[in-house]
Amino acid sequence: MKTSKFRSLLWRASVMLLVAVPLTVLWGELFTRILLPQNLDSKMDIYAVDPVIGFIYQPGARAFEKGREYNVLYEINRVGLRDRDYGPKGKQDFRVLLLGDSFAASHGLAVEDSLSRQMEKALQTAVDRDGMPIKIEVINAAVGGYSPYNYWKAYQRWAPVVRPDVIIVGLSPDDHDCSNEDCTYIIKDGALLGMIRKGEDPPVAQGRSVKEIRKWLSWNSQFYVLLRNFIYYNDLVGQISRKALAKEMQRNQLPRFLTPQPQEMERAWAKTFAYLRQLRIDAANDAVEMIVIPIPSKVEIDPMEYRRVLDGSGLSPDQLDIHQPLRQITLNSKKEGIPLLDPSAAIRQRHTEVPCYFVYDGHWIAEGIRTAADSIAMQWRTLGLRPWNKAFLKVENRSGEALPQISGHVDAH
Amino acid sequence: MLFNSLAFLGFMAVILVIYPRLTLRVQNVFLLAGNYFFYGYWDWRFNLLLLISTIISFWAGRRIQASSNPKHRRWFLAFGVITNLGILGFFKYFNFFVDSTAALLSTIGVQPHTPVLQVILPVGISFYTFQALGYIIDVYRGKFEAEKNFIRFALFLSFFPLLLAGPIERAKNLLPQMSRPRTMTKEKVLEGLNLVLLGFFKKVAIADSLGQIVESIFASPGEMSNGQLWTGVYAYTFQIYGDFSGYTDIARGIARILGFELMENFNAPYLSRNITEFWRRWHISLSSWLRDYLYIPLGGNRRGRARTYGNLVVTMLLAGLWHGAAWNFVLWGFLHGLYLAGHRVVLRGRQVELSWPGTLSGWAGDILKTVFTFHLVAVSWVLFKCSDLATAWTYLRGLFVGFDLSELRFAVVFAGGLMIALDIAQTYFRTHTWLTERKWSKISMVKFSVAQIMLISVLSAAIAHIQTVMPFIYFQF
Repeated sequence: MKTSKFRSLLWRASVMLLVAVPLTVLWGELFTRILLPQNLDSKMDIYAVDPVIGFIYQPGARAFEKGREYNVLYEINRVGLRDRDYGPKGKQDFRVLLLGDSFAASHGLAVEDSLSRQMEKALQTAVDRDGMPIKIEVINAAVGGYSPYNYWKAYQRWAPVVRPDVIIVGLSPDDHDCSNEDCTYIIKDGALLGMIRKGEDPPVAQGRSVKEIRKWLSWNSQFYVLLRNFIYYNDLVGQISRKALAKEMQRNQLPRFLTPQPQEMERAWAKTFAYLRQLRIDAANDAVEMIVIPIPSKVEIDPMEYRRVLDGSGLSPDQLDIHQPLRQITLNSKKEGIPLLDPSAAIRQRHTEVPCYFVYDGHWIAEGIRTAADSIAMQWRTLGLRPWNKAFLKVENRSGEALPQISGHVDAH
Repeated sequence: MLFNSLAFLGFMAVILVIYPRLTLRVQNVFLLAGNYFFYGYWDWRFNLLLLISTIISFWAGRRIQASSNPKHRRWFLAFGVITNLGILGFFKYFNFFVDSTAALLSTIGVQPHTPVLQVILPVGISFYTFQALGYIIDVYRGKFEAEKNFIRFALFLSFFPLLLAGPIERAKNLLPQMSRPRTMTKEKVLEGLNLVLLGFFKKVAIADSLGQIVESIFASPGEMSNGQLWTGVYAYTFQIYGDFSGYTDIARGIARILGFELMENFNAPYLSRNITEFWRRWHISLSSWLRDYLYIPLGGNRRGRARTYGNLVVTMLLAGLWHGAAWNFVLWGFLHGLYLAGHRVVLRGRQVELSWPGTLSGWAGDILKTVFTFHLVAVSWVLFKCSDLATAWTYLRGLFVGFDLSELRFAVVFAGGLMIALDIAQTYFRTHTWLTERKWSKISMVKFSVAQIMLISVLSAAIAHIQTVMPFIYFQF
């Protein structure tokens, strides 16, 4: 008797749930759409496969990128760069090609606030002050997700199109990672869904993945977006996720700050510098000068962020050298004879007055970029680099060592 | 603390854990402490006023009961009424009367020096003052015996679910419940939770969502089109109903969980066929209070037609003034007084329930009458919502110039439709009780689904409005 009563209860409860839950979700969608309308995510369907770099922006594409702290328009020009359209290079034009990842590309910011535009403005002001009849153009070829391997490939892709006089490589905090070399990118309907590294098996198609379902929901369901925004964008939740991000930072980012540096980090940096060297060789062969700009991460600039990471890591301050990556980049640049323009000091100073980084996202914001651009322009002029000095710095293997192999993709020029 | 706040959740958790374990006497003391904590959370000074009103009303009731001399009884009645009204008048109307008098004098060239006082308006003072007055008058009239136990009386006057926005309970309904044993039964708790959920659905899901539309339109009515103005009217009509009736449902639900029964304050008011019926269905506790303690003592409808119309207008004028210390509220009350008097004229001595004289009848007629009455009330809410007469005039003028309802927002129609559907369902279930008494699985499934729907609506709206906590509209009264 008791068993049959329990079974009957279980049966009724199951039927109720089966009816009530879909009804509730449908109602939630209807209710949200009518009384609590939300902005659906726009599809970032602006990517295309590229045989040289791996992936680029689709020429003519347009989309909004929404994040916790930003909602910005991506408008891609006719050739596939997030920049204005450029005509043929005039005699008075001095072109700078900016290569880099999301930091150099100024992720989360409008193009007017981007590093390329700010540097263009700062450099133009400097040449105008010196009475030089030059029109400065800084062309943004940086793309979020690129590594130094892609920077090298991007030069091969864009140099014949843009015909730069100088290339700037914005080296960001995670540029020790070149693990995406020679991989295949999965791009579906313009959306970048993932990548298959060399040697990995492609994922077996088993219907839509969770990621694809979530993306679809964020494009089509206002109810989903309402709940998602509450979880991801709520202040309290954001503070919790920052703590979680600190853990991720410890796992992925801390090794580059560890002293002594782990061997895998040393190997990783060696690979990065090898790609940079190859990039410099290619550029020099085209009579194009290369300049390196190290872009500091928030943990290197913001004492509170450093404190948060240090406390979360469980390490003592003498086990973490926050300036180690910059020191390595600087040493390498000196060794290779690459001009290095470091905006860290200026950003650090400015950050004590106004924030130069997003609160939750680790990227720099307009104020940080403006400060960096002014500092870079000033150093550029002080060092007498082109266009102030037309002399071309010859590329030499100053150490006398043989150039390391880079997985068979280094083409000798 | 607001009902829709984390602080209140914590407060209720403490109450619900401790309350059922106490004996009656200790329950009363515990609840009384909880009431004063709840009220003092807004401002500890409010508790002093409440305590003063409680002491005065309790003492006046005891003296009236104890005295056999009619003159003394009248004196104690006057003392209780005047001091309570005096407290209310000072805290709520001092600045209004001073400013109005100064404005009047300045029209004849006199510039008086007006005292500037920063008088804080204690939340809920209009409600508990009227509750106290009702008690004193009922004792005087011999309809109710004065309460001998101060704790029970203090609990009656400060009962937290209805302290801030009613209903204005009658002593004969609520006071006896303070002396009866109360238990939290499973059925009562479930019923109470259902009511609370319904209340939150009306307040958070419907009213607060409409509030965003209302604020944007009423902020600058001069710049709005006719369609937008009508959208604002309809939105506010349902917002104020959802807000106020939602609060009442939450209050009644909480009281029921604790073992108390509070009076119903709303009975599908927007389904009224005429304005008289509306005032029997809207804010029932206030309208019945005004009828019993103001309209009837003034003579009601027993002194001829002209006096009846006058009594109606005066009663509603004071009802308007009760709502707020501003001329727009007075005008709102006056308008409703005219509505009621006008309905009397139309009726020409007939009973209220009858349809209009011979021309419209049946359900089609009822629908037309309901729509007409709805619009009479909706338009009058403009006076209620606008912060001053000039803005109200701009709004009203815009409503009747160039009709264009093409801009009416679907969201408002949807929300209004939900509220009306709820009212119709509640009215139906009230008259068809056999439906709720059955334990059919289908009914359970319907109830469960409806509860789920309400819950998801409340949660979605709460999440969406998390940055802007909208207070209950009637807290300002």
